[in-house]
Amino acid sequence: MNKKATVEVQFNWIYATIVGFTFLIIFFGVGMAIRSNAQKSMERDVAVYLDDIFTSMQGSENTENSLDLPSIDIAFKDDCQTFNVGSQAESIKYLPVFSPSLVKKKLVSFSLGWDIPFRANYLLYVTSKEVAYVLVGISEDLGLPDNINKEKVASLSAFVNQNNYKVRLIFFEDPLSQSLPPSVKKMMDTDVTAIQIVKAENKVNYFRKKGNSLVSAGTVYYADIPTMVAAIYSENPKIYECNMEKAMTRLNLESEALLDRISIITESDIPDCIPLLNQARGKLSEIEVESRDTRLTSEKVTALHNIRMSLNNLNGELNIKSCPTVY
Amino acid sequence: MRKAQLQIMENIFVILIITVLLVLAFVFAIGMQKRDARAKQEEMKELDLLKKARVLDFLPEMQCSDNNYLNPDCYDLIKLQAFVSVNPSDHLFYKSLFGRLNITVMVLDPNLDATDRWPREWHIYDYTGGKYTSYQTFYRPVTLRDPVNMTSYFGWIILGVYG
Amino acid sequence: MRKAQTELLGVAIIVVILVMGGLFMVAGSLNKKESVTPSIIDQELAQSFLNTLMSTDTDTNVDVMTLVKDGCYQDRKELCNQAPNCCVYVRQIMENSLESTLKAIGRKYQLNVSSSIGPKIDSIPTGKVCTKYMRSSQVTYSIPSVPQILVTLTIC
Repeated sequence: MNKKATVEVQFNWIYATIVGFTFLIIFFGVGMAIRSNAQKSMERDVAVYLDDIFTSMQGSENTENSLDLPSIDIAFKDDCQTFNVGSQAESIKYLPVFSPSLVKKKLVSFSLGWDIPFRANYLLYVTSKEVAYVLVGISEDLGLPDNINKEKVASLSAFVNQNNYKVRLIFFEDPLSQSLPPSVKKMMDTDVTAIQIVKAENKVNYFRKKGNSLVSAGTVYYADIPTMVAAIYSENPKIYECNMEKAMTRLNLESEALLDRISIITESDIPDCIPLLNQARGKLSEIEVESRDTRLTSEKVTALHNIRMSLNNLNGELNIKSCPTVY
Repeated sequence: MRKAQLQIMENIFVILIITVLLVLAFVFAIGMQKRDARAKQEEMKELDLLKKARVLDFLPEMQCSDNNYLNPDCYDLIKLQAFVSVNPSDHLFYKSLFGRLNITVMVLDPNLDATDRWPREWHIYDYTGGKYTSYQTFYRPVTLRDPVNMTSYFGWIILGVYG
Repeated sequence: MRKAQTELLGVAIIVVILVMGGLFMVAGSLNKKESVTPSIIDQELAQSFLNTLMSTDTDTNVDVMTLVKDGCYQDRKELCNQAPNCCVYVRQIMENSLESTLKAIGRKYQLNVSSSIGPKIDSIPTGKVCTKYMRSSQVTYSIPSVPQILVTLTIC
């Protein structure tokens, strides 16, 4: 009888353990599935929300936005066609979005209208609050908004990285002659970049970290403050150039439409306005030609600057004469 | 022996009942999630429609401009005509910008002696992107301004979204 | 007896849990959240409509806002093509706009023009269309004048 009871009790315990374990596995599996679904759902919501932000940012230039990203990373591809929110991909084919390659923890955004001199496009700038923008020996703000993590230091050695996952060093002087501070040296090469803004040539030189020093990584040209800010936000020349191509494409299409508009207006009975409108048509043609090749070169920057000044003056004169303006 | 068998059977039944209850609860939870997902999908569709309509607010190609101040409630009549002649439906850039939309703008003449209530209309853009399974329409009034004779007309934008 | 009572208690607890669970399920299915998107669309539609209507120029080269403010409320008939009643004239223009647009797309609406000196333009359409039981979006356009004139459009 004793033996029977012993066997029964032991068997009961084994049985209960197996069943309990099975239930635990089931609950654990269900919990993991729910968690995974929730994560995917959150990524989808963030992707849709970001898409909405990018659309509405165009109507609220100079407005700073921010968004907390709990356990979600946003990756911007070098081809400028998509951005990934976790596993969700969203298209940004037509929208010029200048950003570092990875945005984590807290997304901050900003936009500026690009006027040449008519509103050609909206340039969108996105970064993370955990990316440090270090202005070395620069006293001005360079058109950067207040919502980014920017720091002004007199010299590079004075900078100490406060646990930021990326650092962008900004110089007016040549950074190759300067040595990186210890807190930057121990960061991964891909997380440290630098730019040198050469205002006299409307040029931005890019540098990347290699070991304990910086090496050259390309050069781009900017036309004005919005494009200079774009170069500051862009992780590398490729992101800047492919997004500027989108902006130039739209500029080309708009100048085409404005040319047609002037042609229609000049058919109206407004003889006092025709000479000025014809001059404006000439300038618009020049913009249309310049923007056919979407790369922004040094010569193109100079040409666009001159055309912009002329068109601005012409528009003012048309306004004074109560003629239909170009923009 | 019989007592032991009864005991085992009792255990089995208890576990069976608990399993059945859990399965029922699980099925119900999945059902609720499906229903919520469907409702969310419907809301997403409406939000998507609203989002697609937002593209009409940021079009320097057509908006009235007063020294670069762009009015989202006003379209320049001549810019509109010029934009139509550029034929945006054929441009990759605008296909990316607008997506699968149909944009038509009509002018309304509300005057008492108007012979034709809708004297003019422009088909700005139409791109289905292949087959479509649904079509939603969004309407927006907008001022159409003629910059030459400084007249404002009542414009009616019809935005069709292919799904 | 005691064992049977314990077993019965166990069954009773299970029944109570089941009933509570069932109540939660019913409560969850009854608690349906209504989407806010249609009201946003209607709000924007109403706002855009009023903004556009007020700035639309008429045959007499004045906009609808001026027709309401000066033609109707200041009785300046020259602005209404010398029509006998300027308020009826501008009401007709507004009615034509509403019928060709909102009515044509199957929307119900109510447009009222009010002022501290009393109504001079009948509501469009006459009679109550939007009741308190219907979901509606209401927008008011304030015409800067003395006395102030308010044009209210409700889409329901």
